[in-house]
Amino acid sequence: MSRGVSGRLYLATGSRSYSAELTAEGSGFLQLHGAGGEILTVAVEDAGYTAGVGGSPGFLTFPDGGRFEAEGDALHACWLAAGGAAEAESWLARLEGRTRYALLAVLATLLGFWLVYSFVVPRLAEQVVRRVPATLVYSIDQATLEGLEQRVFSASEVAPPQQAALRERLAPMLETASPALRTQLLFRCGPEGMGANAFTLPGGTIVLTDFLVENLPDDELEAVVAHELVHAEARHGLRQALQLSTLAVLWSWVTGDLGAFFSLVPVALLELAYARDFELEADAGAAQRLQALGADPRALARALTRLKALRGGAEGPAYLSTHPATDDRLEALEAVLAR
Amino acid sequence: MAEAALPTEDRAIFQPLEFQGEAAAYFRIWVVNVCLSVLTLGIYSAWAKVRTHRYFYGQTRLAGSSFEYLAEPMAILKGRIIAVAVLVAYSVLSQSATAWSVLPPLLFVFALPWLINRSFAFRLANTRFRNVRFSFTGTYGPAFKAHVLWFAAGFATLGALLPLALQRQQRFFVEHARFGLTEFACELESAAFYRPALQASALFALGGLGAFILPALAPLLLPLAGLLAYAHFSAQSFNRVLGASRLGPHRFEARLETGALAGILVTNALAVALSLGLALPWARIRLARYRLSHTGLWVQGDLDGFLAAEAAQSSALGEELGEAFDLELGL
Repeated sequence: MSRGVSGRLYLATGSRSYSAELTAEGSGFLQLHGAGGEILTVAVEDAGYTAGVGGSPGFLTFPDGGRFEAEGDALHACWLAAGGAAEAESWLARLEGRTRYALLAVLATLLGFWLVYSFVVPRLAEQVVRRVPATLVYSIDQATLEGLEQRVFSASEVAPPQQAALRERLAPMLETASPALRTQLLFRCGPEGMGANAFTLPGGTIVLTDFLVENLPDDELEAVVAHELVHAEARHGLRQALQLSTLAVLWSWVTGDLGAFFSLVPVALLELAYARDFELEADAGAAQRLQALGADPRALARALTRLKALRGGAEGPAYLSTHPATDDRLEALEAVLAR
Repeated sequence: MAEAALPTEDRAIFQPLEFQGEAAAYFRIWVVNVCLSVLTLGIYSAWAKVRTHRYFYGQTRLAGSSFEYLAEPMAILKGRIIAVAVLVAYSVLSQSATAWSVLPPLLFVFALPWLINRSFAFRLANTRFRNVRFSFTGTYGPAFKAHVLWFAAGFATLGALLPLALQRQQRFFVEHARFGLTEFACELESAAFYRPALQASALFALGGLGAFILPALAPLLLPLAGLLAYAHFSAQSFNRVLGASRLGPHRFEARLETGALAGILVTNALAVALSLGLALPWARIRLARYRLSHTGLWVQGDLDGFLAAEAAQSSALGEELGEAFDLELGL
């Protein structure tokens, strides 16, 4: 009995354990040898085999519900020697058993996560967002705007004649919008710290802050509106929300019980990265719109430079911001115009 | 406390749980899990959960026999998909600005006892030791009392009854667990959690005082005091629950220590953060080894006398919903 595997036998009825030794009998049979000399022969095809994970004990299940527990590797060898088929998950056990596969898995994970993050999730979100009915988008606009009016914005202090003149100046650009949008241009006074800013809601509402209107010449305001129209038409706001929540669900599935901090920080950083991609897309689209309208596409570059100066020229690290660094945006714009 | 828990009447032998899991082996399992989960957009995570549990259960032994985790990945996947759908519906409904937004939290409160029962039933029904399965017999009424009414009373009294509520909850869990045909018993006294709760509060208050005196150190002192308070309460309450629990003639005992547990939690958090998550398997193994090897059973004679029961079917929905809503369950 040199090939014997010692282990414990349990009956179907209760927790009592018997020491026993298992041997492979070559031609499809296993034999259990009890401590008192009793011998039980079982056909391999009648027994079930459960491999232990990562070196845990394995189990054999017999037709009468009895089970035999033994050290994982020895039981595995005995089972194979008796002609038993490897378990369906043996390829997993092989993957989990070698350090070089572990290193490979680390690399594959990074690659896989990058693919999911930069291709799968954005494409998926784009497809889904495109199918959201326009009426739903308008009602989201309405609800969001009400919230902003209550908590964030106050009435504009720009003189009504100036507002009217601006509306007229910007009308041709607004008319280039897709007919699916319900464009409206709003002037609002933002709170302290918001500064020169413009907002787009997915239904086509564009809000310009007083500070922006007072500090940018008309042609640059037109460039800003063109940029915001791209956001609205591509439904960037909805996509951002959807991509973020998909990513959050995936991340929590993958990491399991990692605790709130570790599960949220990477997602928050990636959220900002998505937002920066949208900004570059909107910049490029705006330049093309301006060109199509016969306006100067460099107005956007001038607007960006002026906005940076208005902020005092200081910018935090790009990876902590929803917008790319101004210099990067200018560079990307130059590349678009060069084409 | 520990002295009083020793049964003196018979020659019982203390059998600690042995945990033989190793960081290197679990790291390989974990990294394959993460990799395949990412590549399958999360679908593999159900299989990953099963393999992780099978490893941890399989490496845990009592009196020479190992534990087995029996759940089917497909059952977990189904539960997970439904749980995600419910979670999405829940957050959409509760963020809508209509009167409907009060409905989800209300539904949640009434679903909670059911959720906890199903979750425990699934976990225990899929745990086997020496060819005998565990099971959970909690029903809705007592669960509602333990998890909702007592906690409502706890919060209504500004926390004065909260230790009592926690005691009722833990007793509910233990008393409704069975191993084969044998029921667990729990003689946890009502006031059992008051002392650990007061001590934990005092620890946290001390940290707060320190932060008040030395505001510069507040970002360090407050989380540390919070963690210490958490470690103290969880270690001491666990010891008390186990010390009051019985399975047939066998008594349980746990000997967790606040300092050791807090040390492991702090170093684990640091290691995981500094290694960008790669030390997570090591951290989990360490924590499991400490907790399991300081828990055991005073075995009266042997463990041969338990009779098996008919296996009951249970779905994974409750457990997956519980995880989706971040319920912290269990002992």
